[in-house]
Amino acid sequence: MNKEIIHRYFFQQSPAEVWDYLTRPELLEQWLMKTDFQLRIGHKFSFISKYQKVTSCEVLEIVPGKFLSYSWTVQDPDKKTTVDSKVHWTLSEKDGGTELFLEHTGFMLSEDFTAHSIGWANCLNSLEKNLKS
Amino acid sequence: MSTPMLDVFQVIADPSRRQMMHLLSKDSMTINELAENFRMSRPAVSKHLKIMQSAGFISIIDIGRERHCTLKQDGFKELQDFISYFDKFWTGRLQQLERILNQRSKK
Repeated sequence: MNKEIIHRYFFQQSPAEVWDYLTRPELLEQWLMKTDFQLRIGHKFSFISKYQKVTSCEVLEIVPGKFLSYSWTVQDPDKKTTVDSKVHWTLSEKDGGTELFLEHTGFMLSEDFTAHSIGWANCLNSLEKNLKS
Repeated sequence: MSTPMLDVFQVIADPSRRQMMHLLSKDSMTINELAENFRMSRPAVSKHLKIMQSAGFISIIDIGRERHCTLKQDGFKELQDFISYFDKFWTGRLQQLERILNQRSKK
């Protein structure tokens, strides 16, 4: 079973430029989501989608210009289920540009989870519909 | 005793259940064969298997006196749907990042 997401992406721009787009809130907002991210280990922040869906995060590791990881926690609308995961970004210089390596891994339920009857599939279907519309 | 209905993430959150799935990924096994691999009692193994069954991860079929467990796709599919949602999400976001970076370079 494939339990992680891995993307390798090449950009013509330098690692420093790509790094800016991963770490500056006003630039993150242009391609990912609105956020109060700060480049500081332990900083807790959120990503807020166009439809006000909140992803809660905490900065875990920073290697300036090269590596960044944060937790990525999604709650369903009734706030009873929580799925924890982690997002890791690795940048390296390649052929005059940047190779960006994204790993989204460790999908787990939070320990304080309380059982409820709504299937994840339903929540996700509606989430996907909201995002598409 | 009723089997608690757990969602796919709760099912795979338990290390024993993950190990059972790992064993079953190689071949179908009877409950007794599975139980030999664990320190817990056979009823405890049986309870884990029922949880996995109700979440669609395995099927349990009676053949003669034995109960045979086989891995099933359904449970994995639900988890896979969640992960593939984010997989597509990131593809779209990274393409957007590329567009923005390229536009900026042209200026």
